[in-house]
Parts: sequence; C-alpha cells; structure tokens
Amino acid sequence: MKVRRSVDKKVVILGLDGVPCSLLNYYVNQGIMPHFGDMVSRGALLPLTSTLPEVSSVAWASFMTGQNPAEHGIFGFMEIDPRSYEFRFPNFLSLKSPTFWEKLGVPTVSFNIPQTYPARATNGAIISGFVAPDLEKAVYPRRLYDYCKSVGYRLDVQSGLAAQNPEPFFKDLFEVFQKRAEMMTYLYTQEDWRIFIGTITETDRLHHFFYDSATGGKYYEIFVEFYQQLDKLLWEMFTRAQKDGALFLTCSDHGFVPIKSEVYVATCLKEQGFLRLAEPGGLKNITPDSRAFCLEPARIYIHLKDKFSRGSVAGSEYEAIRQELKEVFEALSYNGCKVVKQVFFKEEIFWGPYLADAPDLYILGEPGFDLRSSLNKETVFGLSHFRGAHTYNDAHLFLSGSEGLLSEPPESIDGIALMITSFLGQTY
Amino acid sequence: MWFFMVRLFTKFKQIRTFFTLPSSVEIEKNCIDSIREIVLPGFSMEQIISLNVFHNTLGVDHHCRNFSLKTNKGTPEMELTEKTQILELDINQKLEKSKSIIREAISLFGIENIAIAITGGKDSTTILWIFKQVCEEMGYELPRCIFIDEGDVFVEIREFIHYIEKLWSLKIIFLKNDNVSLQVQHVGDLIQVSFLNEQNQMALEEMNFFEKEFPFIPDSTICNHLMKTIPLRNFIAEHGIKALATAIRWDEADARESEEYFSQRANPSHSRVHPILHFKERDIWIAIFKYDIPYNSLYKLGYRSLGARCATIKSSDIPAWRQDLENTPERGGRDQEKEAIMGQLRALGYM
Repeated sequence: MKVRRSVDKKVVILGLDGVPCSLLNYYVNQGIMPHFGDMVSRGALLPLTSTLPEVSSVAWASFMTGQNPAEHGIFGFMEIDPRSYEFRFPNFLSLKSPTFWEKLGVPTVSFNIPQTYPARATNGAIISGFVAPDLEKAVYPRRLYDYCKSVGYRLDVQSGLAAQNPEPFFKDLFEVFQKRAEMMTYLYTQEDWRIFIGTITETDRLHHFFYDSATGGKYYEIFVEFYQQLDKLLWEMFTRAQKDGALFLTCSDHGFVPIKSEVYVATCLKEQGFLRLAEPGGLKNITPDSRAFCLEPARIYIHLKDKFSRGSVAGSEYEAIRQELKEVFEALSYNGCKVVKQVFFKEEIFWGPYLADAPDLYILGEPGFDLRSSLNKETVFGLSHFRGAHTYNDAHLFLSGSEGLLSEPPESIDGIALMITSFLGQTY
Repeated sequence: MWFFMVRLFTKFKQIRTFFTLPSSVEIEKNCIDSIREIVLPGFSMEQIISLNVFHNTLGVDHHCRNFSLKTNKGTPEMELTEKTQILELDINQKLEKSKSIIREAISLFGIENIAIAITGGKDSTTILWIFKQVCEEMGYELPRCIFIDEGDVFVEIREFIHYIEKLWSLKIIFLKNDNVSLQVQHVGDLIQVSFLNEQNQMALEEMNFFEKEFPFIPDSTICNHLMKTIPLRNFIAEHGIKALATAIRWDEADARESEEYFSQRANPSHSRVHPILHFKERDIWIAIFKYDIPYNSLYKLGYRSLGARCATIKSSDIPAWRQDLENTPERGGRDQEKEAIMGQLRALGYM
C-alpha cells in the first residue's frame, strides 16, 4: 500500500480507565451524559475486549504497543524473582517494545497512562500514570515537573480512604479529577503534539469501591455527579479536537461489574495441596514441595525445578499438574453458580518472545467473581470493602467519526495502535 | 587540640551566633564546611555546633525525601496540616511537645503504672532521657523500664544497657521468652513446636502457624511474636501496667505514619504512649548531641538502625549521623519506592 505522510492529521485519545460500554450506554439513555450522547449519535460507541490478564497494567501496555503480553513483557503489576521469591514491580522501562507513538516518531503527549512510570525522555511530554510513587520521576520534561508542583498536581486518588469512610474519599476523588482535567487542558493547549493521549483513572477508583451504586443505590448521586462532570470534560476535549481537525476517540482498558464474591486463588491452591508456606509473610516462605503458586490477579505458575530456586517439579510432571489445576478451578462453584469462565494454558493466550515469563495458567472468572491472589485469606470465597470487579468484556471504544479510518474498528484494546498508525498514514 | 581551638575561634568572627539554635542565623555555607573540616576529624563536632543550625542554613530540605504524609493511612484525630506543622518545629519546640505528652501520660495513668520500653537504641534512649527531665521537674522517680531480649542481642547493646542502668539508676526488667530460646544453641536451629509450653503453642496457633517446627531466626515474623509479643503481654498483665511508652517515630516507616501519641491496645488492654512521633531521624541526632544523651557505639560504626544482630545490616562505615539521613532509608536494605508501590497496589486490593 502507498505510504502517504499526512502532516496535518492529529489524534486525540481519551483513556477512561475501567469505564464499561454498557455503563456509558446507560448514562446516555438516562440523560446523564447529554454531550457524550450527542457525540455517540454522530459517531460509534462499540464494545472492546481487554487483555488477559484483564488488569490495567497489562491492558494499557497492550494499548501502547499494540501487542500481546508475551511480546511487550508485562503480565501483571508484579512478578517474583525466581531465585529469592521477592516481589519485582515491572515499570515503563520493563516494556520490551516501544509504544506506537515512539515507533511513529511523532510528538506525543502521554498523560496519566498507567504503566508509564518512570517518565523517560521522549519526543513530547509524559506524566506517568499508576503506579507512580514519586512525582519527580513521573514527569518529562523537567519544566513540566515544576509546573505540576506549582499547581499541586495529584498522581492518584487516595484509595485507602475508601475503606474507612466514603465521604473523604469522594471529596478526594472530585479534587483529583478536577486537577486531572485542568492538567489535561494545560497539556493540550501548551504542548506541541500530533498525538494526544490523556487518561482518567478516577473512574477505576470509584468503580472498585462503589460499583454496586453505578446504576442505582446508596451512592448513585456520586456516580451521576461524577459522570456529568466527565461528560463536560469529554465535550470540551472533543470540541477542541474538532477545531484542530483531529480524530477523537475514547477507550477503556476493561469493564466493571458489581462483585458477587471475591475468590482467593491462593487459598484454593493451599486447600488442594498445591501450595504451602513455611510461615506467613509472603511467597518467600514457599516450601520446596509446593507445586504451584499464584500472582495477582489469577496467574498460576508451576513451581518448576529448573525455573525457581526452591522448585521441585520436574518437566515431566508439568502437563499433568496443569491439567489437575484446570480441573480444580473449573469445578469451583459458589451457591450453585459457576465461578470460573475459562482456564487458559499459557500457549492458548500468549504468543511472543517472552512466553517463558508468562504464567502457566490463567484463570478468567465469570463476571462478578473477583479473583485475587492474597496469601493471607482463610477461605476461598469472601467479601471485603471492594464492590466492583474488572471484566474482560464490556470495555469500550468510542470513535467520533469514521473518516480517515482505513479498516474495521478493532475489537480488542491491542488493536487500537494499528488503527491510529494506519490513520496517520504510515504503515510498518 | 589547642591548634583546633585557635582555628575555630578565627572562624568565630564570621559567625554571628554560635551556640544558639534559631533558624534565622545566617552562616555562609563555606564557613560551615570549614568548621566541619576543623571540627570533624577527631574533634567532637556535637559539642560545638548545633546541627539544627547546619540543617536550616544549608537549606537542607526538612522534608525527608522518602517520607510522605499519606492521610489514607488514617489519622482520624490529627489533621494533616497539624502534623506537618509539628514536624517543622525546631528541636526545643519538639522537646517541649514530647515533654507535654509525657506529663499528660503521667496525669492520665499515674507514674507507677507506666513502663518505658528500651532497646539500647538511639530513639528509646532519647525518650528515656526526656522522661528523666520531666520526672526531675516533677519530683518523681523514673518509671520502670523493660528490655526485651529477642534472642540475638548485640554485645554492645547489652553493655550500653548496663551503662545507662548505672548512669541513671534505672529499674530495668529484662524480658525473655526462655521457653523458646532455651530450645536452641544457635540462630537458625529448628525448634519443635511440641516441646514448647502451652502459651507459646497457642501463640503460634493465634498467628495461623500450624507447622511442626520452625527455625529460630530472631526478628522473623514468628520469632517476633514469640520472643517479643508474648513476654510483653505477660509483663503488662502481671504488673498492672496501664501505659507503655515506646520510641516510634512517624518517619521511620510507612506503617508508622498513622500512629497517634496515645493509642489503645488489646490483649491485655493497655495504652501506648509515643512521645517522639514528631522527631525525624535527624532530630534524634540533634537532640543526642545538643543534650549530651548517651548513644550506643554501634552507631559510630555505621549502623543506622539496630535490631537483632543476625537481622541488622550495616549500611555504611561512617557514623550514622553523618550519613545522608534524608535521602537514604533508615531501616537499611529496604527499598522505599518498592514499599510505596506495594502500598498503592494494596489499597486497590492487589497484594
């Protein structure tokens, strides 16, 4: 195909972390998001699938690179060192592939995208998203860091407040969102870019703790207020993008549903005799006779002799143990309901040079079952203060119009990179 | 020595005030450096210069780089701004604050019902000294002290404890869970749970430990519970202690950030008093040198923080007070950024 450079074309992407397609449809129908509703009527609001695992770090990494986790190397928020069993936290520098904008070499603003900490020198500007412990390392270029400090920019909501008392949490949520919106506007108007990506993560925080009120219930007014404000922000950004002749889209990295029950994968492994800890206090106390362990949210690793320093499972036992684990989890049931939607072996869902680092099994729960790998739970099922669980399906993609789009819109989040790249008139 | 004194007094002309503390004192940076050059080699700097003067005039950021006030850890009673203000006080004001906490504790609980937990470390020796000041002012004897032997105590710490015991005529009660420690000869030896007494066995069950044996590793989770928590519980119950004073500080670790000056504990029910929460690591050293509080020789060797011998790492070979206190972790070997990441992931249910 002819490669035609188009220097005029610009792209604006608003990431809305954890915002389901179904929820947006609901709010549009209820008249809570009139502006977005107007935009939808002139464009297209489509369902999108997340990645497996359906967590933000993996999904946004796939968004940024257009690739499978075994290609970009991010399988979750944490890994363990195979020798010491200490936690390691992959960050932006652990991404094994460049982002689509780095490949294109065009000036890009990348604002609050999860898995982009620490910020690195780039053609454009970065403010890192979750998990970003230190503001100074989360901003490039340096002058932007000084600006962030001067306006009291906040990297994230104080999620810990939600467990204690909703009121301070909501107050904080709206304050952080306000600062987020202001910074987004500042970057849009002050920085030089051809691709502008700004992500709102307050939605994910609100949903984690209160999603059972998303369409009615105790805190429904908070959702209404928040989504009305989001509606205004989307409208402002869309209007600006239109003036600039830019393609405008929004997307999310996964959906949400209210939690039916949390499912503690590690407890299940312990009860079924796969996992033992010599003493409480983390995986570094795993015993040599343990055959499998898990990492958030539901990644299962076989404790192989030639992979882990304390592992004792021989290669010849690998398939049998995997099969046994699959049967155990497929059989899980809660009040007569099926808990596990599907158990995947690594080769079924991962492909790429980093397949060896992938979990040996991945468990996808039925919607409403929030699989977790906490090591200190005594039961397999339980509830805590969380009220929303991620979903693999029901993420969303909104396109403001189909002009200039060369192909069918993507069905999964890792397809967006190719769509943008094709739109900008380059192929690789 | 006289040669140093001459050089020092030559510099004196360049210094407007010398022995006072107010942060308004202007001292040229290069002057401070020369004083440090003169004073440090073999000379007791701490006897000459107030570190607070260095601190303020060198423009050293008071905010411990790795310390952030995360209100999500929840201090319901203390507002964020109040805490920030207390942390910014100068050493005199911080000392006054500590004294007022101690006076309040004495008034609430009665001097005879208070015990002070001492470890031979810089923080607990400092609160002991502050208690001593208050008691002298009020005409009381110092409360009882407790020292918990966790199973692998530095020789230097034992010696230091005996030194301050004599110096300040302390009443120290030494606590040790002999039933556990007498099972082994060396750190790392295995202990059979069935050989332990009933209280210790139940203590293990309480923490959901159901193995038949465990290695004796002081400062590990299991050993801390058996060697520290159990003897402490017994002591509090047997002696009718209403309040235990400990030397924790806000800036020591994330887990300490939400501590209050007074807090309730259970099993058995008692109060904790934390008089030096608002002291930063550097404040402790300022106090030690300003008020001539004795300190353990291990700090001079480079140890920043002291625990069991087998579990304490020396982060450097220069004395603790000369290390980069604001930008390196006090409890050596732990990555502060990693802790922050874990905290954020935990708040969202991951981990």
